[in-house]
Amino acid sequence: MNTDEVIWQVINQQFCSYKVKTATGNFCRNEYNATGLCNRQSCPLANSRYATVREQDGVIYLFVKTPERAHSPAKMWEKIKLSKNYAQALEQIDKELIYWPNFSVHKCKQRLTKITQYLIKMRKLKLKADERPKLVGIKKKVERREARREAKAEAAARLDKAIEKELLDRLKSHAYGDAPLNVHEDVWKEILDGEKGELEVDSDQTDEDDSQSEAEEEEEEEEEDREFVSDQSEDEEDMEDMFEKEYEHETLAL
Amino acid sequence: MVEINTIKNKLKRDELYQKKKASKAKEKRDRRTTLQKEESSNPEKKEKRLAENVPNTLENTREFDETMVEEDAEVAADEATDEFAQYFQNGLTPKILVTTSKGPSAAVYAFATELIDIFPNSHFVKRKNQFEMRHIIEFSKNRDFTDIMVINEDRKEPNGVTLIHLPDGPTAHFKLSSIALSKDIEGHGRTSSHKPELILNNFNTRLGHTIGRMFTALFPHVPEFQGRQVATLHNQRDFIFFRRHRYVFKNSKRVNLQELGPRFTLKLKWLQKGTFDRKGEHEWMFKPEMETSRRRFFL
Repeated sequence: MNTDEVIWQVINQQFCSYKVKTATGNFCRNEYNATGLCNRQSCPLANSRYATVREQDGVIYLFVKTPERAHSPAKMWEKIKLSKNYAQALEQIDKELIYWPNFSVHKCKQRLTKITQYLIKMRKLKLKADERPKLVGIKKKVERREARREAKAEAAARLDKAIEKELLDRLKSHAYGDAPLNVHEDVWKEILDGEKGELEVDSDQTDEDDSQSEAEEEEEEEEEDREFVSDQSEDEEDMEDMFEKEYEHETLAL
Repeated sequence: MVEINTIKNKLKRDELYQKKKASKAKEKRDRRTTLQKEESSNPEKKEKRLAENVPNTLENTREFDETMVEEDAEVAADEATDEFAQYFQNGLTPKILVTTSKGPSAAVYAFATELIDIFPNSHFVKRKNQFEMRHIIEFSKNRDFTDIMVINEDRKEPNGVTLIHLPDGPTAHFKLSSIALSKDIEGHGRTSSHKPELILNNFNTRLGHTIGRMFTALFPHVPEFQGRQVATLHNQRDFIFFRRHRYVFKNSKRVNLQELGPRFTLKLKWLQKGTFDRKGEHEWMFKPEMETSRRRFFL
């Protein structure tokens, strides 16, 4: 107990790491401080008998420090869970801090009130969170990457060409019917004629394969009939070969 | 010939290098002109060369996707009984409600006006602060709407669209980008009230099919071909490009297009099975960790 004075003198006049000096006054950043101000009465370090109310995860506790435990810092603060009922919690504080100076009791009760109020507010807000717009962070890197990829995809898509191709395919496949309203007569005729031409070519090809090959061979034969021959006389061997070849072709034609 | 990189004199080195470059370019040019001459007289050669040298693109080296659909009877059966059956089987005409998020700005209203123009039988309703999404969905169901489009905005610009199909239809949320209103498009045409034709490209996977059907269900069944208007939703690498054109067939090989109306890009962010539910589970959700490969696409 007698060291409290010494501690206070050192802290106040020399250095305290929890002390914050502002234009309005001195504040104490120590978590166990009941008022938040830097005073002789409010300093948790300079008072070996001290009490505060704090909340952890929505549960409110009364923290009590006595000079008997001052030698073991790990077990210094006694943590007492307060009732969820506000009135009962107040009575609990009265009971635990019976015979304590009014200052401590009063400040603890004030803290309890404030904490319960803000916890109620938080719970109410959470319920309304659905109605509130959900805020999603903008990830710059992702945005940049997506913008670049979009530009490349657009280039790769070649939209105009794709659309033109699709429309032409639809027209040619008669998806617009036999007398389409979205084409000029001449163009439609052109397409129909083109189709007919293809059909004819197809039918010709399938019907008469032989005649075609015959035609080819006839041409070949004609070519064979017409030959450019030199004036110089040829060897008998060559002449014989030539005649043989001609004979072969003639048989095929038959 | 001395190695160019061993010459210490910068001027001389530079000169030789430029000569080398010029000769390389000339060689390439000559090769190409001869090739062009040969191929102009012999188109078969050109076809052969093209067939041999097909370049690798992201599309043709796409990672194998087991959800790709190709003439699957099972898929067809599924689709016959999905949420869009009313539209496809029974010919229900779409009725669309367009609204915004709370407290919209001018750009959003302008975009909403364009949207109303795109979809026949659509209505714009100003968003009131007291109504949440579930209220809006309820009201629309009562008034026989088939779809709701909610335009989301960020920093005074529209940045997203949530498309909710009613009743109990899927909900899809898209990121909106590259919006160009018709007045900003050079040489744009005037729209008419004819029902447009629809082109949907590259919606190949199961997910793509769902989204594609969602879009189809927004447009009327029977287009008025004499209007010669076409609306295109083209999917390329998971980006859906929307365009609107008026077309005219010049001859059997060419179509002329005049761009109408707005131009925008959509990217699917998530898909939910039922109507919008913030706490509900998502059938598909995009997460940046999904894009492990440049060749992987989902639509």
